[in-house]
Amino acid sequence: MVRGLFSAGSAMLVFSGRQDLLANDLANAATPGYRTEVAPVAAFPEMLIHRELRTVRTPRGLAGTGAYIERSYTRWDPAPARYTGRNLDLAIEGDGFFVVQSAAGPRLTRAGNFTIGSDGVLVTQDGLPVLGLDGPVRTGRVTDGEIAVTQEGAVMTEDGRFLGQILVVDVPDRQGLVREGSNLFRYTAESGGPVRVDARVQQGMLEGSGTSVIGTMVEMIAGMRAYQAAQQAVRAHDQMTEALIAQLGRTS
Amino acid sequence: MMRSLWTSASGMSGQQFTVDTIANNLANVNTAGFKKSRVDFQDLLYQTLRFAGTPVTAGAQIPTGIQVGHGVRPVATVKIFSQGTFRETDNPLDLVIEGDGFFQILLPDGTVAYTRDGAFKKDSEGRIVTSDGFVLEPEIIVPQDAVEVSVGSDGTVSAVLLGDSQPITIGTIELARFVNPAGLRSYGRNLFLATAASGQPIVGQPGMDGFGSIAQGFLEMSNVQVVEEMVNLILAQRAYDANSKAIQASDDMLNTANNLRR
Repeated sequence: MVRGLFSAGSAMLVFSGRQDLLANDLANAATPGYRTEVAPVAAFPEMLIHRELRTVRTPRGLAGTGAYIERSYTRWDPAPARYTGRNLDLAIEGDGFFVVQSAAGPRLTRAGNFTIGSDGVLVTQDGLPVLGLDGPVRTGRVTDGEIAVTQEGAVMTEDGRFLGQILVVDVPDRQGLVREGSNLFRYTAESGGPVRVDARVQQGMLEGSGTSVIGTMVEMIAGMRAYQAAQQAVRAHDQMTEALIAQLGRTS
Repeated sequence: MMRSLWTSASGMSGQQFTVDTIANNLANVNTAGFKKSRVDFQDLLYQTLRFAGTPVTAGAQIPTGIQVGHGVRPVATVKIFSQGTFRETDNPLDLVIEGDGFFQILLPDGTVAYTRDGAFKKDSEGRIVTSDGFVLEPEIIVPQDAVEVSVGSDGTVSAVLLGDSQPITIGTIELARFVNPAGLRSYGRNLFLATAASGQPIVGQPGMDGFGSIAQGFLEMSNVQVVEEMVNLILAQRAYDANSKAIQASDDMLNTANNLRR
């Protein structure tokens, strides 16, 4: 009786938690290099229930005990890149990440909307240096209009002077990456350390967000309805309990 | 209450900011020397509800945790300094920079501002000024009896005086470049100011090492592409709608929860 009440309640909590994730995906529908997060619903373990009648226990079968969100996955499928024509917009084709130097150490990002700091270093919009093979990529006194980035990630001036090589890395298990916000991911023991991969960099392109607005909307509607269904189940339990108390309590 | 309400609200205000920026780009579609802006976004902080790598039983760990984000914020309005289209005007004091660089303009308070808008005029003293009357730096004075002013591609300004046949040089236009033009601050009136982010101006002669050359009788129009702005406007509006629907969905859920007990 009460068990069902908790099961239905746990379903409401699950769909409310998923709504938070979906809302974040939609809010970031225009964030470059954003990756969506999905939370599969896991079932709590089922229990074998028994009927006890005068010390005789007969098994009655299995009963579920509800649902919860066990983990959330990041979807790493590629997001569409669009042509911007801006020289310092770089998109990575296929897998891989740019490496930027944050105050707390190196971080990974897919957002390639870079700019040049006043000291001539290639930086993110937050001013974090973008790492090359040997430290931050320095463009010196070259303005952004004259920078060419080859498909292999070599940064050159228009007249062919080599300025640096942009570092593109990948990790053994991307699901182990931790989101830090500000378009950054942190690698952990679970993800494994970054390994340099062959870069395929497109200059003048910017990777968009991985959010599919339509898909997210559909998920949201489905979640809302499941939430309402669970609420109905809670109410049904409530009414049954109410009836039980009212009926059993009658004396005439 | 639910996180998602605030998350979606951040999405709505972010998209509203995009529309504001697009509106300014479109408003300046015919402004000489105007450079379009674009809003770049970042995701906000994440709350970790469950850490990856937490041991569950001996020898087993959670492979991936649960992280919930809190929405989005605009991180930069990136000014895009691509070349605008040139329009022929046949006015001798309309100048364009073909390539990199800015005209230097002296503001009344003594600071130097920078512009790509080369629609110059003469003031009552014959000085070359912007439409607002701010003086071009270094100052060039066109003599009273000049009949013809010509500007060479290297910035040399010469004039033919009344009764003469040979032109005389009356000054040279110098340009300024920046390592990071995107870091310049828009001052309005088609002017930019140098900031710590843009770096110090590098001053030089037109046509020399990395500076653009000057062409007379043309104006550089804005680099705003109407079609592109329209597409971005549609995208921003739809993303705004989607986020408002997410707020409605969250609201319906809260309403559902409130109806648990009648």
